[in-house]
Amino acid sequence: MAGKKILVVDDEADILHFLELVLAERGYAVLTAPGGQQALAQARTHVPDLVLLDIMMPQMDGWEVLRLLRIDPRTAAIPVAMISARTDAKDRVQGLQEGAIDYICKPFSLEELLAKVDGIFAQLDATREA
Amino acid sequence: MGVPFHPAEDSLQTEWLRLKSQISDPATGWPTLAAVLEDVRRLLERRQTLAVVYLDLAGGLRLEAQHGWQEYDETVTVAAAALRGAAGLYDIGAVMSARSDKFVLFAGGSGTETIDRQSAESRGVGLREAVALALRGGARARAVPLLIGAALVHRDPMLRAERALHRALDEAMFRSLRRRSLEEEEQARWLDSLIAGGSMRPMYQPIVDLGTLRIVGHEVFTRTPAGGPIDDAEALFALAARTGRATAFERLCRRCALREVRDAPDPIQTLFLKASPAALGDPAFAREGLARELEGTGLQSGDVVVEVEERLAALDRQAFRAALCELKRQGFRLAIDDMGAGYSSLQSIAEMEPDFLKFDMSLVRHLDRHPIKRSLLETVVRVSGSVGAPVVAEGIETPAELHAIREMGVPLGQGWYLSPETAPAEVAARP
Repeated sequence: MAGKKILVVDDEADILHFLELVLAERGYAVLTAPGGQQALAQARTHVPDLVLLDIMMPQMDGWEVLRLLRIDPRTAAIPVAMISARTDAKDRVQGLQEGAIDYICKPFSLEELLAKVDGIFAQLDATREA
Repeated sequence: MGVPFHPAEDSLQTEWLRLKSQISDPATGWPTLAAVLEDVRRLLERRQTLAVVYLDLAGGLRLEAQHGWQEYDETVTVAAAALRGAAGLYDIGAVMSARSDKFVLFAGGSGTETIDRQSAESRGVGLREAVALALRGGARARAVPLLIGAALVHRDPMLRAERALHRALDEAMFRSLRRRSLEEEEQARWLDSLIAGGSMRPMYQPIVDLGTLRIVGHEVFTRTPAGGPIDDAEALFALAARTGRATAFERLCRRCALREVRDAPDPIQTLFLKASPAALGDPAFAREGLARELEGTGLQSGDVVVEVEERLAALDRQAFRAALCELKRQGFRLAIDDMGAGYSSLQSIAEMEPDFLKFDMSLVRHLDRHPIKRSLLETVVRVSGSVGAPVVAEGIETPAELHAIREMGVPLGQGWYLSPETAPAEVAARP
């Protein structure tokens, strides 16, 4: 797990900071972006191993970012997990349809989040080896 | 007291402005040749021998026609700055006339250094390299063919200095043209070797539905092989057209692109293929050439959109129309590639029954700041509605441009911001 690069995208500075601390402590290399445009720029330059992407953002929402990531061959293969405060099943379904690999609901506990992220990487590694 | 009146001042001002336009170039701020001749004469007297280096940003017409005069002025300004940077402290530089893209540099060397034919020649080569480097590194890396020629002028008491200088300048110009034709011969031989080699690497750029942000097709580009005398695809195709090799070269590029499509792991949907006027002028192309090239690729004629530049076909309209009709009859679709360049009338576009109208965003760069450019695009969108062919905006390079273009209701787009041109191997490299 250590050394994997994660890009965290959220317009709320508190959450962004929290995620950065928690994931860095776990041994991940963390990039952050406070909005969609910065997220695209970061993803294209650094090609992270995972993107944690907030859905509800002003200007460019998470769906838009996800679609733009999918168009560009440089970023098309990066796994994306959506983050949202909404517990709506519709978002979950849409996320999967649009090619997101997982869905994380806000608010989340520290253990829950880390378990989820570790789980995502474990699953990705398993499918890659299979 | 009456109203103050200063006729002398007014006319002086006018006279000054008129003169200024003759002695300096508004884009670069460089003086014109006429304005520096006296200084050059003095330099010649002091140094006895000068190198005259002539540099021509040839192909300016093509660049200006395709990308607009703003961009061309930018290019000329970048070239001028590079020339100034590379020139010696005591060298005198000038433009041939205001708004010209032809520069001349008079170099007398410094200290005990004397100028001879060889040093003049290498001076020219060095200056050309400096300008080429600056142009490649500029905001828009456009390949501009640079013609350069050098000559010597000696102080001759029997000859008026101006005459000697003009004579040397003529020689430098002549040498620049001769060098160009030699270089072009060499480039043409290289092109022949590419055609004989039979392998060009295609690249693909996604064309995106701007509403859903899904890929609906790909435009095919050709990657210029490294190590050759030309490193810009636009210039390569222009060379092929100039030297009568367009048909053969394009056929090769098409064949390679179609072969890659066949082998691609991801199905590539609609394919946008450029066809030059030369290709369309070849009767075999429309009749059976293109259809035959599709055999074995898994693509049907309906999967292929032929992109044509309407303005370039104006020379032989009859043959051009016939070729387009034939392609449409076989089920190929048609895109007009140069919308907004201002050459095509609405009537002539409608007659071609296009399926797509392509519009290059470089024509509308800084859309928000230029109302005229905006209305240019609005016109294209309106034409698109009446012709029933959706607009594809090319060259979207910034989020602001993507935003503006979607606001205006343009349905399709492509560009570096959405995705750069990529080789199929890179597209396929998905874990």
